[in-house]
Amino acid sequence: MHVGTLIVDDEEDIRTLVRLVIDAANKGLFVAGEATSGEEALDEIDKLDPSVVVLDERMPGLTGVETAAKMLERRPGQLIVMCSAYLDAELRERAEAAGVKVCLAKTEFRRIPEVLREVAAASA
Amino acid sequence: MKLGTRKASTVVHPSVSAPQSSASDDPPETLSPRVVGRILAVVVAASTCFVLPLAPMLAAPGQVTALRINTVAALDLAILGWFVPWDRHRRAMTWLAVIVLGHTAMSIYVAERVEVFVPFLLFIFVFVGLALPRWTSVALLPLAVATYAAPVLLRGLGTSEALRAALYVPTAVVAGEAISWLAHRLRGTEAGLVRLDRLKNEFIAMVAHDVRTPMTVISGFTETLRDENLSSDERRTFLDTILRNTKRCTEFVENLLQFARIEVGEFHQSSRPFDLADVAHRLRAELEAVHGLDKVTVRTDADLPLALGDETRHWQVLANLLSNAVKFSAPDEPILVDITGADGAIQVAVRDRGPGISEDEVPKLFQKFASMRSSGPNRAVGTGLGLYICRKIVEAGGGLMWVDTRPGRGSTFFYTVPTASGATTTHPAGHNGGTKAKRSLRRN
Repeated sequence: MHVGTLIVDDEEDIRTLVRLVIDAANKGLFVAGEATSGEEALDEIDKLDPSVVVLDERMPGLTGVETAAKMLERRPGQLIVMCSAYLDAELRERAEAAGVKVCLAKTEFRRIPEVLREVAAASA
Repeated sequence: MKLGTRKASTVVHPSVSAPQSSASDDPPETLSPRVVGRILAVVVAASTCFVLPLAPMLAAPGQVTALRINTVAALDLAILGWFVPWDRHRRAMTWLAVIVLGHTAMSIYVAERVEVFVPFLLFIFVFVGLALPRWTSVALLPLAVATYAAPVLLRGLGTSEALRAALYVPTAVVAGEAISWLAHRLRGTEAGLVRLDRLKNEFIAMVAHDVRTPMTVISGFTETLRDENLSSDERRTFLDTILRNTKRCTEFVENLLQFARIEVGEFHQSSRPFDLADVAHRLRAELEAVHGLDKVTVRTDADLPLALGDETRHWQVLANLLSNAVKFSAPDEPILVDITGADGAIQVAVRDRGPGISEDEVPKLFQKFASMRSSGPNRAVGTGLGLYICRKIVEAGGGLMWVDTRPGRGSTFFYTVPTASGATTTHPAGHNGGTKAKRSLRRN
């Protein structure tokens, strides 16, 4: 199974780290593209057509939850994983209500490949 | 910082900036003040027309005269209420309505006219619940309680019937005002606690973001360094990333500590002559050497006097302004630092060609937790302490700080520093040109 991922985070170092983790995992996982904001992700998503979007919450401009809601409005089946530095129950609730499949704390970045595979397999 | 559509520029100095608008606690009113005033006037007038002729039947013996006096006073205000909008005298009208209705209810109750009393109470509730805006219903509750409690209180004090009638209105007003004041204070305290709780949660989220993000990067890249197949270039890049994020954590903690010192009034700085132009040139050189940024240009007056203040703090101020300018402008847009001397002070201007700042965000810029309070589709991320600390440093040294911004055309942050009288130094006017930035700095 090939799983293309769009990484959306305003932190360049985090994007690099997620890319390194995905590239290291390999086996069908690859990075389809990167975006530095929710707005940029919305502009690029149709062109990149990723299987899964890994989305930060706290970004300049649109937040992750707002971006997820807009993405799903346009692409109802889009798989979205939220990866945030601060993940409390309230954010999880809002993210799930917006249609986000899985919420991960940034400190759990090593789990990203496993989560990407699980989410993609569940929707297949 | 956010984009805006305003055409004119905004120049705001924090000490003279407009106060922030605060959200009202009152629910929105649905009727216009004039309509409400007239509804109230009709209700009171109708009540008085009902009460005046029936006073002997409604009131207990000895209360008839008092009831009629109150009723006539209420009628006067009802007539006034027809012409004057509700928002001009709503408190007076509320009181009159409560007193006349309350007194009538009491009189009926004392006269044991239960068959009249029950419909009358229903009428009051309908009047309170439907005819008036919601906040008035809330306000009327303590007032109504006081109105009913006043005769009981006066009777308990053993006063004569005439004195009770005379004291009835002032007692009800004082008791009602006291209850109303307490209720208002409680509501204010509760609203304050809710706001504080929300700010605390935002603060925790911000700290988590600003500490966990670099810590995650440090941890992740350190683990990656274990890979023996990495090239020496990759290792160097990863080590630079780790170092940069370690510095970011340190700066974040330093900002929080400075903020804490400012809040408790223990923020001290030295005051010695120093060369502000040299600070600017060294900062530009560091940006180029460490961050690969060569788009910052520093221009200074040829005979710039020495500044008076704390050199380390002013390094921090300029570094913060440059960091913001870099972060909020496109990689190929130049950043200009102009340092000029005028009227016993040195003025520093940091110009960028970023998106500018919208009019509604400008007044918040120099306040603490500015970005936490920022909202809308283009809000910034960060502690919102950087510019607040800069302003405090500049003001503590006797200077001023302000911004001139045009949405879509960039921002210029200005600040002044006093000169060390008589001391001057010579600098070449103008410095390097700029090309593309390789990396953005973080806005504090």
